[in-house]
Amino acid sequence: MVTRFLVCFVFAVAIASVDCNSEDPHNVLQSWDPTLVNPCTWFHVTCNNNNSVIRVDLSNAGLSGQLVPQLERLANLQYLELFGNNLTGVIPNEIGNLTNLISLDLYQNQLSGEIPTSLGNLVSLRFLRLQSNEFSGTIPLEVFQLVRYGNLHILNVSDNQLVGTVTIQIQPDLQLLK
Amino acid sequence: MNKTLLVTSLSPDGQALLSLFSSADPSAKESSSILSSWNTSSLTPCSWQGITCSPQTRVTSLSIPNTFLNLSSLPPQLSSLSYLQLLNLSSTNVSGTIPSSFGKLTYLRLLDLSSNSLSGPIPPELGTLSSLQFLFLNSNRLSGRIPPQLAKLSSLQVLCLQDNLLNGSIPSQLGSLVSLQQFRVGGNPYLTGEIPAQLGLLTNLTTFGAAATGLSGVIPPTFGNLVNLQTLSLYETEVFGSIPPELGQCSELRNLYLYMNKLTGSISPQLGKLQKLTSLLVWGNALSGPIPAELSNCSSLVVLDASANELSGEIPGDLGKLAVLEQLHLSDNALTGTIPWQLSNCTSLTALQLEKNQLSGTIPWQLGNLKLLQNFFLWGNLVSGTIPSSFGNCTELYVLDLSRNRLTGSIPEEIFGLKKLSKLLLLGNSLSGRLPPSVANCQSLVRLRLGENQLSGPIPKEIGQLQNLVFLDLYMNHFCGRLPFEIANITVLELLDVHNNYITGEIPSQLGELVNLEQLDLSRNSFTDEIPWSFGNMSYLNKLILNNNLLTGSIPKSVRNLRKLTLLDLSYNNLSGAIPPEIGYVTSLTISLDLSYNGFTGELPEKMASLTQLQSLDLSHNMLYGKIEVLGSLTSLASLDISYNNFSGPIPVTPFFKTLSSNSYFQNPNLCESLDGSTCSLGPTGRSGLKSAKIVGLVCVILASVTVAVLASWIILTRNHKYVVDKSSGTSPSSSGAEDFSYPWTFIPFQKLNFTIDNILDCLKDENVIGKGCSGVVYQAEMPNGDLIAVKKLWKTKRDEEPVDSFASEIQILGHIRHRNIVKLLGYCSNRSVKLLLYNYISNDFGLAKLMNSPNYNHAMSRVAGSYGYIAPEYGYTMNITEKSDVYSYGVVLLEILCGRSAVQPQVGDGLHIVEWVKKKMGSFEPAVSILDTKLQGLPDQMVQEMLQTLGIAMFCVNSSPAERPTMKEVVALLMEVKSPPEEWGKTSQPLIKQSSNQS
Repeated sequence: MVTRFLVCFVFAVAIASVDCNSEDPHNVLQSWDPTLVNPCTWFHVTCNNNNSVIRVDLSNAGLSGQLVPQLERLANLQYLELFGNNLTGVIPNEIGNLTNLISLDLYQNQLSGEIPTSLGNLVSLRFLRLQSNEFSGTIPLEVFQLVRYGNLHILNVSDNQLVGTVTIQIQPDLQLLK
Repeated sequence: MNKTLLVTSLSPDGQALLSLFSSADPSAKESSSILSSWNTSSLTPCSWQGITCSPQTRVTSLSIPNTFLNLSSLPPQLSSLSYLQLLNLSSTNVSGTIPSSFGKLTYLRLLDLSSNSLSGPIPPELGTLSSLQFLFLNSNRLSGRIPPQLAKLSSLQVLCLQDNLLNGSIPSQLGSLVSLQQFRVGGNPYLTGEIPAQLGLLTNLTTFGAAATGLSGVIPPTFGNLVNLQTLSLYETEVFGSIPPELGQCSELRNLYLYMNKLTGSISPQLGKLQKLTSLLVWGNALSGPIPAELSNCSSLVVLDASANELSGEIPGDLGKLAVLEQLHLSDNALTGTIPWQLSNCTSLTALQLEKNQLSGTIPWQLGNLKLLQNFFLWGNLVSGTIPSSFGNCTELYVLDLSRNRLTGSIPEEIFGLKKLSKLLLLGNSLSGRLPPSVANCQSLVRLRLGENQLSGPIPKEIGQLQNLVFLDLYMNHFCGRLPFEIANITVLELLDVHNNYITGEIPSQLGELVNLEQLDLSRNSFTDEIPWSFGNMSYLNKLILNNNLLTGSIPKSVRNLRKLTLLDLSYNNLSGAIPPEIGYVTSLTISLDLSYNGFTGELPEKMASLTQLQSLDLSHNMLYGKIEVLGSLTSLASLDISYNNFSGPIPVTPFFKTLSSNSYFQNPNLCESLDGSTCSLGPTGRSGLKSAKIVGLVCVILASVTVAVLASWIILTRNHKYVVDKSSGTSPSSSGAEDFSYPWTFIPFQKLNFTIDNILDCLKDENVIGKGCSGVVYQAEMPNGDLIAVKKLWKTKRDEEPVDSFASEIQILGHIRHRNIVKLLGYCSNRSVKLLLYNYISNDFGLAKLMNSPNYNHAMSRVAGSYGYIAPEYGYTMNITEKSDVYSYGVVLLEILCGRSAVQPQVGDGLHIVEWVKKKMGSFEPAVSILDTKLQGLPDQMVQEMLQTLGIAMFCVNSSPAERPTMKEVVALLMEVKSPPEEWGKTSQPLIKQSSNQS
């Protein structure tokens, strides 16, 4: 379901077309009239002064489905808050193109697969919370480098099925690593 | 024949039939009236229900569809029924594989194993069933390839393999099945390859279904030979190429479903020959070129959907000849030219969707002749001119969306005479003139979105009469004058956006009554005076945006009640005073707190340390001072600006502060770097280093600040009187002193009660409030014997001396009702001033969830005697009880059926109302199927999916907003669509609601 809605959301932002209302179990998107010139008056969406979307706050909204690669079109996105939903599938590599992201909160979902190495591109990222999902594989070195050389201050990947050892030296500022 | 043997033993055919029980659920036989008739002591099974025999007492027919067998496999013994002609085990809850020995049933004419959970391959041996006419294997989990051996079934008329997991391609040999009338392989997502051209030989075919597969290649031109074809269902596949013009020869064609493919080329004019065509769905392809005018010859056409293609050219005026056309969807193409006025001749049209094209010219006034039109979408074109007033004749109009065009002139008042118009979207045009007071006539409006135009004049106060309005956008216009306080009467309003206008005067304090408001944007106007204290009542408020106004005074301490606020922007005003500690209680503040460019003074309150989720904080350009240690607690901060204040002391030592540039601190001369966070290490920081050259500037700033402060104090003093008045007028009825408990009480119990009026009055305290409705406030009251009761104190009516008739009416009705699902009224108490209703306590007092203050509250309780658990929540707060309230009740009943759960089960488990329970389950991590009655969960996947769809419909029905609920007519339509993909109709399994049409 979220697949359709996020596609529709992205389309609505980028090309404005799809009627989203029927995809929304909890009515969280009820204000999303696709015909609005920009989505800045939609509930749970925040824009900057140039009417670009900088936040999507849809945590604990009962959404299910998968994240879509088209999210990369929200080029100015700083906060993607989708925790506490029923999201499944993988994190699309394209999320790594959202280089303005400050916070990527996908915790408490049912996401799986590996954490994409492309997240290493998110040099502005300060909060990366992926705990309580079903991620597997190892934590990419590129993500650790965000801690060392980037701005990542909070990294939480606990309660997953990740393996491997943390081999690089973590700077003492890292507040939370489980 | 040996007679004694017959007496002592069931015939071999009977024995074979009993194999259906050998592995079956023992309860299966008991639960089925058919199977319980299978008497094992009979000589032959010929008298058993579902069994037919030949004169030789051999079984010729075994037909027990929809019987709960619950078998883990089909017993191979059945293949010993060598005389069998009909074998129907559809929907019998059978899993396992199809035994290849079924190939021995050489007399078989019908084999129906549909709607089970069968897996494994289709045995090639079925190809030896030379008498077979009907083969239904659809709606299972069959995998593997379609055996080419099926091509030997020369008598086959119906081949239904849809909704399985078959792979491989369609064997071209099937082109030899010349008797075939139905060929259905849709819903097999792994089916690939091309559609064999040989299928064009199946000239008796009436239905060809291959939708929702991975089939690719082109649509074979040989399909033009299918002169009996009525339905060609080939949507959501990988087919490409053009639509073959040869299809124009399929003169019986009624339904052509080709949407969501990769088709290119133009729409052939040959399709215009299809006189019987009712549905032409080709949307979601890459079709180009013009819309052929010849389509106007398809005189039976009801639905034409060619949206989301690359069609160009003009819309042919000849389409106006389509007299029975109900839906015309041409949106999202590259169509140019004007909207042909001739479309007004399509008098059956209910939906006209032309949005996202490059249409220009004006909107033909003749469209007003479309008396049945419900939806008209034209947004995202280049249409100019005025909005025709003739739309006022389209009395069925529900949605009118003309946004993002070049429309000018005023909004015709006739539009507001439409009684069913729910959504009026005119965003982003150049509309001018006033918004007429007659807007109030359009009581059906739910969304009124007029932003980004040049509308002027005052916002009419009559807008407050729109009792169903949920979204009101008037932003970026030229509205002037005051914001009418009457807007506060729109109790269901969730969005109010009037930013960027020329609105002056105070913010009406009545806006605080909009307790359902989630987003309030008054920014970029010229509002003066203080932020109303009453804003603290808007407990659902998510974003409050008041920047760029002329607001004065301090932040009201009532801000602490805004427990859902995520964004507060008060920047660029003339606010003053200290930042109140109460802001620290708004821990929901996550997105932003912007107080910049004001005249705030004082130190940062310690309580701000609670804002640990706050991500952006801007305090710049104020006159704040003192230490900033508290900011070190804001661990989620990603953006901070405290420049241009007079802060002092050490900068917190946190990772975040290390990343800040000096711009964030600029012009705070007394801040210092620190190693331990409590003492300065280097003296005043060089980051904002005060250069001597800037001293003069600083003096000026201080002088200006003092001036502002003096001015602000003066303003506060002059406002003080008014402030006191506002406060005592009281926004909370419970705090108003007008209620007098000292008058003598009347206490009428409806049954023997073990408590007194004093016991009740003792419990009417704020801490016992469990809900508020428009009719009153509800308290939980514990009686001396430990019993819990609910006490509803009715709001005082405006005219105290008038008796509240509704009070009496509710008492009369509810007092006599005795039913476990109806709230039991225990009794009532009243005196001259206060009315109390006493109910059994049920933990979630449904229907009173949201605080409402309807202007009609004193009527709200009259005539309400719906069964508790089934009545719509609006009964709790509004007079607007419509047929939508019945839709709610219907939804509750649907949920009960699907979930196997009563609407209210106070004695069981969580005691949640079923609607809340389903919402909770949907929000949990459990699979959706767990919501269904456990007895239903084991049914075939297909049926479970249908029930889940029905569940979704039920949830639509129980939407808390009546306006958002479907009408009963729409509910029926939705239920019919539960099995609606064209590929699905005509299936052997029964949909929940019998399909009566083949609409998509």
